[in-house]
Amino acid sequence: MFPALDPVLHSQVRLAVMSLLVGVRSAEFSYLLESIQTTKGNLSFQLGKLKEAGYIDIKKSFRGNYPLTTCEITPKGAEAFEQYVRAISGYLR
Amino acid sequence: METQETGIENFDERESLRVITEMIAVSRKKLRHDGILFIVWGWALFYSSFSGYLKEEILFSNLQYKLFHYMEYFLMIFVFGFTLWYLFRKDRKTSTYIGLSLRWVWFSAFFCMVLINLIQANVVHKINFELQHPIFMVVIAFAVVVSGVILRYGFMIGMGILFGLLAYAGSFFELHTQMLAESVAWFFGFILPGHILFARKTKEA
Repeated sequence: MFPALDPVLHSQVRLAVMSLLVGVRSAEFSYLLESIQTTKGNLSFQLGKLKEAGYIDIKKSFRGNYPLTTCEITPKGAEAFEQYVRAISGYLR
Repeated sequence: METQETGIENFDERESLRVITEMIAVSRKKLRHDGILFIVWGWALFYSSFSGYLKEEILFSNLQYKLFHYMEYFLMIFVFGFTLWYLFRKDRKTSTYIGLSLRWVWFSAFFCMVLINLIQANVVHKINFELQHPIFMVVIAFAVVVSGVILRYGFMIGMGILFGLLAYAGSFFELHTQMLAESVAWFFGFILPGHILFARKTKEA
């Protein structure tokens, strides 16, 4: 029997965000936006969902006069991502 | 990437795998190390060592000697300034564990060299440059090898080992010949791997 896929991660944008964040210490909103190539609104919405699940931390600060959003994967998020990858590998085997 | 505001998506496992693979490829491309600091430090230290050798081996006029000498100071000030700007510049959109690890490796190597000087001053009550140079080269060789391991860059690991061997070879000679060995080491340990990293990064950009 295959394990159920995590519904929080089973979404294109959220999965893309997690795939990017898992390899870095932290990344700015603009980096995620240009890498994933989605809309600002959608990315904010999906980041909110990931934060709600406790998978990422979002830090809001300022750089000069401009707001700066930085995202970081949490240990819980890293574990969930690892389990998700393990699960889809099982499906594809 | 196609987006859906609702977040409810019916994409299959193959599609999931494609998204993960695609994003890993994007990260690899964007976060590839550019080798700039290896190039800048490599050339500055190559100049410094090679001019040290030339000043001893070739008879210079006083003016030429001073020009070479002041150029070394100028280069060091430039390289320190550039490094600070590069490390703390504000247009960097990500912070990586690779970058952080490299930073700590090189800060540690720098502090090791300071400590070696202090210990030498305590024990032998002077700085013996003929001893200092090969030991510093060994510390740098170690840092080059570790950097190569962190970057998973076999060529750099090999060049780090060569750096160490040149340190040992240099220890058989007088200071000015050691400087020649050191300049060769900077070329192979820093400049060459740095330029290859930079070329790879610009090719992919």
